[in-house]
Amino acid sequence: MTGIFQVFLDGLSLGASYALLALGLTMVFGVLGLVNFAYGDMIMWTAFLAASLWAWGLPLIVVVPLTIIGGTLLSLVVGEVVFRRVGTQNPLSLLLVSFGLSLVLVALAVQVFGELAFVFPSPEYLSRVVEVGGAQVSVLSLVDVGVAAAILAALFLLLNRSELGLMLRATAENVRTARLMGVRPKSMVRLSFAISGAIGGVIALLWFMKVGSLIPRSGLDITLKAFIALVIGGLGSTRGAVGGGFLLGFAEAGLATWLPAGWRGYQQALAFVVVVLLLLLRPQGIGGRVTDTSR
Amino acid sequence: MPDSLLVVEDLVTGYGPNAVLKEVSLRVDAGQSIGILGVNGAGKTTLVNAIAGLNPIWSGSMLFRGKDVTKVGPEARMTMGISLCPESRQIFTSLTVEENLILGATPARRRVPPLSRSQVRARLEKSYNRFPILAERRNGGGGQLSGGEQQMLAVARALMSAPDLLIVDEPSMGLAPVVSSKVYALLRELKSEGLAMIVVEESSNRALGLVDHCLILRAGRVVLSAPVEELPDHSALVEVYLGSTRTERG
Amino acid sequence: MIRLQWRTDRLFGRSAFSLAVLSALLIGVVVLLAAVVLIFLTKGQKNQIILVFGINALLVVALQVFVGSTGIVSFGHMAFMAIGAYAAGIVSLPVAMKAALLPDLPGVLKTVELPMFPSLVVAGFAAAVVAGIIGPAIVRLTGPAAAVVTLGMLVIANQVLRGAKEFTRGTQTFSGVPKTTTFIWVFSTLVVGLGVAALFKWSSVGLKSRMVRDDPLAAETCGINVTVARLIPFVVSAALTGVAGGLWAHYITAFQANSFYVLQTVPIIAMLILGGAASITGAMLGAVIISTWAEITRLLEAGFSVGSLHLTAPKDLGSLSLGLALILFLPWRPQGITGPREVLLGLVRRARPTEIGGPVGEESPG
Repeated sequence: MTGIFQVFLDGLSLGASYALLALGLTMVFGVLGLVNFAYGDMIMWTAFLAASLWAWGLPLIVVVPLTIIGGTLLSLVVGEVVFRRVGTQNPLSLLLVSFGLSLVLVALAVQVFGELAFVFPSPEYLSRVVEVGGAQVSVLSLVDVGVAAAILAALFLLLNRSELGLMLRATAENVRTARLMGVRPKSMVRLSFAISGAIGGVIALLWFMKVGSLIPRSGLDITLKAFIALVIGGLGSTRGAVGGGFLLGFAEAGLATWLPAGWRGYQQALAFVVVVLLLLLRPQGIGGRVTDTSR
Repeated sequence: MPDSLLVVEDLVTGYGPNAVLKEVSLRVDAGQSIGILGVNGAGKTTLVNAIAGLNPIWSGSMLFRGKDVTKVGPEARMTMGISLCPESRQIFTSLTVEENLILGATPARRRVPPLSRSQVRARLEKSYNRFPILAERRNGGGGQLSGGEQQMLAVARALMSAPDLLIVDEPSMGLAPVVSSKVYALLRELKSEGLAMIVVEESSNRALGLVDHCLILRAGRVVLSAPVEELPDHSALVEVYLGSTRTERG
Repeated sequence: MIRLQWRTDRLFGRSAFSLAVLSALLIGVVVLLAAVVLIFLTKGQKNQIILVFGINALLVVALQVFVGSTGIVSFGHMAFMAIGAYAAGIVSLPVAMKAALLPDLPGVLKTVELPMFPSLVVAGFAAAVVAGIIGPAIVRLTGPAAAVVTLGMLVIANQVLRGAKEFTRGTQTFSGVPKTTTFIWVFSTLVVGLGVAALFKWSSVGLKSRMVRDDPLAAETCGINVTVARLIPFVVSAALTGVAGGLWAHYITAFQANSFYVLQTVPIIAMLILGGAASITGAMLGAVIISTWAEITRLLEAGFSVGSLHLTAPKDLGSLSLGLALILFLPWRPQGITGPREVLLGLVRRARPTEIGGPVGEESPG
């Protein structure tokens, strides 16, 4: 009988990825009002970049920073070329444009990489399983949690203890008044895209090392998880995003372990049902504010 | 002509297809304080927003310290030395009082030479000396202050960038008379220190007691611009304010 | 005097209401006639495509009922199509086949074998019921959050349908549905669907929904129940989508849960958004334009010859071009081609002078 601690560890590792995803989405949502439907596909492209770098024989130590840089650049370009024209007036338009972007990114990926699965290599030592407190956990899972913790800490410091973070938070709350404080909204938008892209780069590596294979359509699953975590957490709240991610992770781990065998096929669906129930009780999510406005 | 701080000429701006301000001109000299009065909807807030750069100028021009800022965005105008306390204060509720203040110094951090971190700290302490209530609440959320305290915070925040021109939009709005008096006492103190300011008010008495020069807006136009001493008597003033009831219709 | 007009959504008077509904029905008839002409012109070669267009158009109109009145883009409506398709399939599958393919069907469902019309009714009803159950969770959310959860709804439906082997054969193909969908069925249902959409839009319920769309807080202060105002179009929209699913089931005769997933959602949403989500005319316009374009891209992807050159367009040209269309078109014109305007038959009275000054007429500056 798998113990609670095992489930806890599994949930922690899953939740770490989901929390990062939700955070990546929230960074841009807070500042621009954009729920990026194409986030998963952007991560897919970043993962293809990593896979290509690997295929060219570059060592892990080089691939990791290059991937993160690649993800950051991709996000910045996307923000500049695609979303800038929409402006902040219309969150629905932003969502639909991101939907269009998703289509374009997948179609291009199919053109460039074909429909066959790419094996996403991961260093051998990451798949080793170690025992922690009586539970089995892969080294990769530990790395997931560690990396997520590091990023969360870094982001916390950035947002709460730095001038840039202050400007970001002010912009997320009220752009007009932030401008009166001399804050340039465009810079803030770019910064949020950059952070979102960097996180995306990290996720690209962690996610696909875990999954093992990569196809152009892999992005949808990522986007879905990110969206659900985001909505649970409440749009616009970074703490909520993180909380939502971990909650989703624990829910999935719990269901995977304790669900009776006949129900296994419905695992994903049940996780979503839990989400829907939560939203019925608390439409604004964990951290969101109670107002019926468009945000 | 003394070196004018701000010169606005024939300003036209509005929202959507509607022009709200029609060829408004005004001038603020260094150290001068101007009051902009008028009924609701006359365009007072639109005017100061346009001066701050939040509303784009459709036609006309604006010079600040001799430089043409007509096309310049609000962030740059703040860096140049204008500071606006917007209508209803707009305190950042997701930030603490101290964070609100620090943010206010951002325009100064953009200047050449930029304000250093320790200088920001020094200004922060000065603010706390001047506004002890803010010092008390420094780590509390911006939204937890009372109306009057928020107005103090808004002004303190605007002062953090050491502006040459302070604009305050309806400082007494929503405040009890006692609290308004405190706010105006603060403004008077700033005026005596030589700060140029524009004060927008709907009710004239307090503002007229503070400023040197008065501008009355009606339906987007300047219908009166005169030093306070030269203003007509009360009933004539009311007529200017509201417009004659017989010859003008809505 | 009755005239054809191009105006925004405001109506005055009962006669205007009837005319508005009539206009929608007329659009349906026009499309039907156009389809007939096309069939004639293409000598029956393109029948399949025209029929599928009819079902797609119904899907878009159904989606419009919800999106147009609530402003929430539902990415999950395919779930209702799936539900409708499976429901129609289950109730209309010949009993003999059922014994073989779906041996574990419970009681009544095992023995029933319904003809086309009741089958479609069941399809619409099943979708409506599901919408009624999960609707309250969705409609209480705000814009982007609701859109996100509708996507989750599609995923849930997909999983559930894939898991419910007794009802749906799980991941195996559900086949054997009687091929009873005809051109007449599709296009007459389309006309009915247009009528329903118009009836809803111009009714007081539709008006209330739009009030909630434009300003939920203000609507609430007017005593409108926000949840109900959003739920009703959700259910109506789901029902129509379910019927479309039934039509599809009786046309394609064999399908799986994955036949109704994100990929199939894409063109429908694009049709609605680009055409004009707030307008029934827009929905139809979008359906026509994008369907035509889809045909063109299909031909291009198959390859054609120019002189001695044989050119083939890239495989995913269809979705690539749709995506680009959304990216380029939306920032420029977020309300779609039509915006909130409809092609309506309107009553125009002659101007009458009044004491206040100026003529009064029923024309609006639209």
